Amino acid sequence: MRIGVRLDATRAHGVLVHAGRVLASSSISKSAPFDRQLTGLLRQFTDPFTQRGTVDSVTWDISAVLEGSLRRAGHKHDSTAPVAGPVGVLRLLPRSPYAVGHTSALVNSLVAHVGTARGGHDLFGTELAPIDLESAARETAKARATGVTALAVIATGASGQAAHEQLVAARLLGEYPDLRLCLSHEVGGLGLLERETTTVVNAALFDLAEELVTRLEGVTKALGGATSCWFASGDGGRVTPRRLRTLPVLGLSTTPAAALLGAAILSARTDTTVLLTDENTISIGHVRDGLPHVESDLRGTLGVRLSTPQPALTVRPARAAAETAALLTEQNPANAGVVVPVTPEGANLADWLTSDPHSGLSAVGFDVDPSTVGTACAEPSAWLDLVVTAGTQDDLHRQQSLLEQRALTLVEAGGARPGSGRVIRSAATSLGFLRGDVYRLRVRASAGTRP
Amino acid sequence: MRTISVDDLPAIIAGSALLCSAAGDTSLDGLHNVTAELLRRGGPVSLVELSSLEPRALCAAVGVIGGFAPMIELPPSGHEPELAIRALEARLGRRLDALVSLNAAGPNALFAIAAAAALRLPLVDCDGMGRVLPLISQTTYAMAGLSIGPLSAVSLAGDVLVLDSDQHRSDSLLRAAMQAAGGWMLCAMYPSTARQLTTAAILGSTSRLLDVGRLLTTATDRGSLLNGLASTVKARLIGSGRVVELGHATRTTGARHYPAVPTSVVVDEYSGTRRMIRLEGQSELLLAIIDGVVAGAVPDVLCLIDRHELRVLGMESVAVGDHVDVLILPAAPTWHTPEGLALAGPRAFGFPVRHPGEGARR
Repeated sequence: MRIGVRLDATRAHGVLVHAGRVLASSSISKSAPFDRQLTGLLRQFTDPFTQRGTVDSVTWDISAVLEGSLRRAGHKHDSTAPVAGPVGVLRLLPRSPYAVGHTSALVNSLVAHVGTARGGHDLFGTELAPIDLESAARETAKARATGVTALAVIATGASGQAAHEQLVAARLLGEYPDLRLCLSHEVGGLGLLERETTTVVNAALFDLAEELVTRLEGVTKALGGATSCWFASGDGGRVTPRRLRTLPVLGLSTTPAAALLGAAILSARTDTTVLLTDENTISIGHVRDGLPHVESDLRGTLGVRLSTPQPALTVRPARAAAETAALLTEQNPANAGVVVPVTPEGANLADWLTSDPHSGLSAVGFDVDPSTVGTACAEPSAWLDLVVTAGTQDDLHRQQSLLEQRALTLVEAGGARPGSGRVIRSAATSLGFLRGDVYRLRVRASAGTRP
Repeated sequence: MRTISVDDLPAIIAGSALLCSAAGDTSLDGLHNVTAELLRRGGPVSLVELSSLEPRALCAAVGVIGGFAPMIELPPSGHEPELAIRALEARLGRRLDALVSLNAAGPNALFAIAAAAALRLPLVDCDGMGRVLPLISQTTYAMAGLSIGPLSAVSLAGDVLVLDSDQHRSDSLLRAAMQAAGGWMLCAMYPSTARQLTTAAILGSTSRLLDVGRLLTTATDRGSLLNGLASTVKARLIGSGRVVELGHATRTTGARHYPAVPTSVVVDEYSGTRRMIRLEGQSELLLAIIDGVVAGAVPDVLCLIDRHELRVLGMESVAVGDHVDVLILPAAPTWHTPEGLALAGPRAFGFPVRHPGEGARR
């Protein structure tokens, strides 16, 4: 049996699942002492079912708390959330940019100081400028003077060649042993701006993630040592507490990803379009091979482009419901999609969408929070995104196979049962207008078993 | 006289995506941010008619050679346009009076505007492609006999090159330098007078881009978008369906001197005859074949629109399972002449087929 719990600003929503079946669900209000209440929620699930077996895992979806803290740093919404950041930014570039600041108000709100030092590689791994460690140290000293305890280091080309970020890290940790560093190659992906945003957001969430993960590990322990503690990730998978402490950015956008996964489980469909409805919008996503369709470089709910994977959703206003339904029915009359209300107010729209029996749209999730089901059933996963050069098709296949193996290794290192990993997606895309041997490889892997 | 300000950028970005099937709406936020910053500092760019310039006014085409991925990994710093233009002016011994676009499509539509803002020069409402083509020698400028050089090029690390060579060697020399420089270079090329451009340029390219972009940024449903594109740029829907196959290295015949491997996209139509639309590309989409018949071909623009998001899907982002509309936008008439088709028709890319328009004229 597995438990999934989603924390939002005011409540905790939980579900107990076994073999894809919901055994119980509940929701509690947030009030002090909240940890004791959460323990009560977990015990409420487990006590009636302990005869049938043990609870293998509790997976927590904390994205609402993390996103609330980021928004609060940007002075938007949710004044009760803890505040993320601030952090320092150190860019390693061959030349200074024309404009120093970031264009995102959210990112700017998280940053206390931006410095640039010479360095960086091109996409093919060639050094563009020698690393200037003295300049990096000077800029870090300026950042430290503002009081920051975390520094985001972003070198161009670092996803393929991380040497400059590592050299800077070695130098800075010698001088500032208490400084927490987030290096952009650790979050990965293509694009300086996307990696900078992701690295800054990640560093800004270090302290909050540390506190939350420690508390929720403690709550989970109340069920006994046999129950493992996990955290939902934005790709529809789950990560260990240790990984979330290092990469809290993985805990963003998890709720819609889990809702897509939950819709697939509740409808028993492994390939389907999913329509998540609330009062005003329809978010159209897809489940492919039993997992939510995710992409990197999406703006997501925070409105900033992150290099980490998030669910690919098309958001349409409720007034476009008829046109949306007609398009989906044309695309697949037999299974136009599964409609899932994600808020109580979304039930009316879901009802309307599924009222025509010939539309091919069906509904699930009226009596249970689909995202908690997805959270409970999530599996360890991995996402790798690299640019490689390959002279021949054989060379490309060899490099792709190596990356697939690496992704499977990461899945197992992330807690999956040995041998249970499977490659969900492995794509080689020829990059336009370069010499004809440059490819972007994207590999996604996940543990293959279902609860 | 029109102007282009920061407020016009969303439309420029959307329009440039439609005319560039390789990039589509690939996120080039760094380029967009730098262009916006240059427009804020330099003020709105004057978009002028070619006929409004003195015949002897000196112009140069601005555009990038290279890939999108390196541009995403290291966006322009904002200093490149000035470095490139000043280097070309030094070589020519004369200041430029105006800039033209190499091609008002894809990222190059933005670079021309960024350069005009940085140099505080007017941008002429014309270009040399009306779309994106892989070689900087595949232009109506070259077709009309304009010399590509002398040209200047600036790398992402700030290196500056000045090159004097012919069309063909300029492209291959520059491409080698671009690769060594990290994957893209901003160039100033085809120095020519306004009089010379009169018979060489595709007029109204940037205005067309703006019109299309406004349509893309304001359309709220698929029907109004398709109707608007049909009336604005004579876009034609050739089919709608689900992407069922993506492939690389499809065999073609002829010279393989283009900077990309061939790629194919297969779209399975939803209803009716359930035809398979096969799209062949090399960076850009170049050929549409339906049941063995050529339904569309370069130099006309082929593009994929996401039916739900109403956004252009680029070749680097399209995925199996995507639901798309396949559109053809006719190229400028000059591309449909025998000389135009010889330079940028399907056979120029190694496809042993005729452009559909060739048959119609016989």
